[in-house]
Amino acid sequence: MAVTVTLIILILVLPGCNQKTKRIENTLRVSVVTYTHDDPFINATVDELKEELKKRETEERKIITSVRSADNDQKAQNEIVEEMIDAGCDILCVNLVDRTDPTTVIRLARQNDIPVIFFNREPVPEDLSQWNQLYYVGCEAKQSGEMQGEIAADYIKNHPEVDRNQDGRIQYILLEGEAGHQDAISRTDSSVKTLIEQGINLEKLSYLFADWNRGQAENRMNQIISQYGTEVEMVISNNDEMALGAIEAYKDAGYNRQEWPIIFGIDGLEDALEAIQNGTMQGTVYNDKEDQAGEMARLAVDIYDGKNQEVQSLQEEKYYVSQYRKVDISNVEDFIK
Amino acid sequence: MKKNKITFILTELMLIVLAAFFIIRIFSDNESMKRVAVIVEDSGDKRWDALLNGLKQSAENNNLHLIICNTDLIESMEDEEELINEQLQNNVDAFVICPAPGKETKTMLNRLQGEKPFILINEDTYAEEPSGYATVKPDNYKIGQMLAERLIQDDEEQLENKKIGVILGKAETEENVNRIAGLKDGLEGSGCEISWEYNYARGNQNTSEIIASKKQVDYLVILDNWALEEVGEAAEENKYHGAKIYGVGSSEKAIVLLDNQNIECLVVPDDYETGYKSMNEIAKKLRHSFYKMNSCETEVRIINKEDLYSKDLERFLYSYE
Repeated sequence: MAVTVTLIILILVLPGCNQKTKRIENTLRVSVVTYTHDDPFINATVDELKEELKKRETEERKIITSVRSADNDQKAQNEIVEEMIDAGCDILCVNLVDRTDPTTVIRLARQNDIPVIFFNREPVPEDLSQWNQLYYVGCEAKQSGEMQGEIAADYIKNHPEVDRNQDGRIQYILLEGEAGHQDAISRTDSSVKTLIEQGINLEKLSYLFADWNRGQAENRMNQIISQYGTEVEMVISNNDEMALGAIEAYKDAGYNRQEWPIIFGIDGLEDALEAIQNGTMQGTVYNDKEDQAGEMARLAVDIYDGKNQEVQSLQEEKYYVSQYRKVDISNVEDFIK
Repeated sequence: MKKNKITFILTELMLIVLAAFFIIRIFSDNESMKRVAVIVEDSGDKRWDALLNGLKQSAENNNLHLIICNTDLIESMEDEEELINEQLQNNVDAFVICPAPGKETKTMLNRLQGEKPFILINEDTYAEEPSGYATVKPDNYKIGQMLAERLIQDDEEQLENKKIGVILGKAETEENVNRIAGLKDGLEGSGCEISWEYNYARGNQNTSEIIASKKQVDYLVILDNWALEEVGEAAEENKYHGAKIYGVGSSEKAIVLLDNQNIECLVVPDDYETGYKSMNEIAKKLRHSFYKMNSCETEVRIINKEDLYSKDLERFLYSYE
């Protein structure tokens, strides 16, 4: 009797004994978490990443890339990371909401031994050095600001008509991403500093925070236009999305093109490249999403395969810094696909 | 003889202790949360927000641990089977599955049936007859019919001599077959012509260009959420020669497109209800293994821009948050 009971119980219980998640062999599962779903540059980068990973599929290895976004909330991003780990993943690619707060993401990844490639928003070095399976792929914000300043300075020198009121100074507006955001601060500082170093006299009329967002930038610029009218001679934006918002605002205001300010962005979005082509924007700085996505894909596969080649080629075996490129009317065709 | 008796008693005692150990283990396991895996295509896409909210709410109410599988495109039975196998190894207790296209999906699910309970959502498997699996979904035939009725109602000539282009979702899905059947039956006798039909597949084509290459039409009827988002977004640039767009969608983006008047009319399946009810059925099954899960049809609304902020629609909109 006891033998029968025991056997039945053993049959019922034993299949549930192994609670540890096993990995399906030959399937690389890459989980990507972005800070928001409505940043066109990030979305384009993620699309590139998916394509790059797809290219690296072989008959022996399938790659599943799943993407979720955090709606600008670090707590939500932490929960998503937890859910993705829970469902099973091999590599995490994280575009942090708050670059100064990756602690939970790192802790969860480390507990589950899942390497993390941070991208676009760089964690501080102290956080990145917490574990040897943490990497960063992105650009140096300062370089983009410097290049933006250089393009703007060159344009002003070659087009004296930019100084419409002929007062020897360029009245300008700054469109900034987020208050206190390291990249926004760095881009703004280096851009303005470069312009001054290049001998351009500037007069700041105002600055606006528009959360990297086109719609917000358009709204803020509408207010600026109603306040300053045609006084604004230049708009310097921390990214293309906000620059494009400024263009929309000027279109709505109904000024003729000669009354528009010159407008400069950063990122090299498709819409911005078109705007340079049609003369509504004068320049941008190309943030090489193809290069960054390619590196992330190479790194993910390399780590998964247990190879060290790609990792060893990184700066400090952690950082991949992609180079920005200047774009204006002279070379915009090279960037349009 | 005496020695044999002692051995027998000792063996019996050992077995009783073992039995007691495993009984305790069973009860302790019962106290832990059961794990339910959800498999939908591209699970991070915003179009699933309402569905996942419904699933999450019901999982919380029923003390279940929800696992949202990390997925990309699910184009075949093989893709889905791999995800299921992965979660079987991840020790899940049950599944909520949006079935992959193709007839083979039913065969694959037959294999799963003996192993773990599952419920289908959004649509049944692709077959001539209903699969017989418990399914929580909208009436896809009715969705097509509702669109047809609204088109006739809105058109000044009740569609007499009008031309319609239809964009469908993936081929070989129950959703697709029934939606187009409902639309065609609903349009019968109206005097309009369906000039062309086109199956949308995500990611590998520019749908706007494909539409532009087809015969010009008065109306575009889009029976797939993702296609509606892509085509609706491009409508701003007047790419379709003024063709009015009617479609099916449950994402926040689809509602924004309606609000911006990129599309004229939207049929919205209640994804929150689908999520909530499917998880409830799974919870009952996990509580009582002999419980037979029930299929049910979820609500479908048809809305125009002017209906958008009516109190009646508030629940739909809240379910996205």
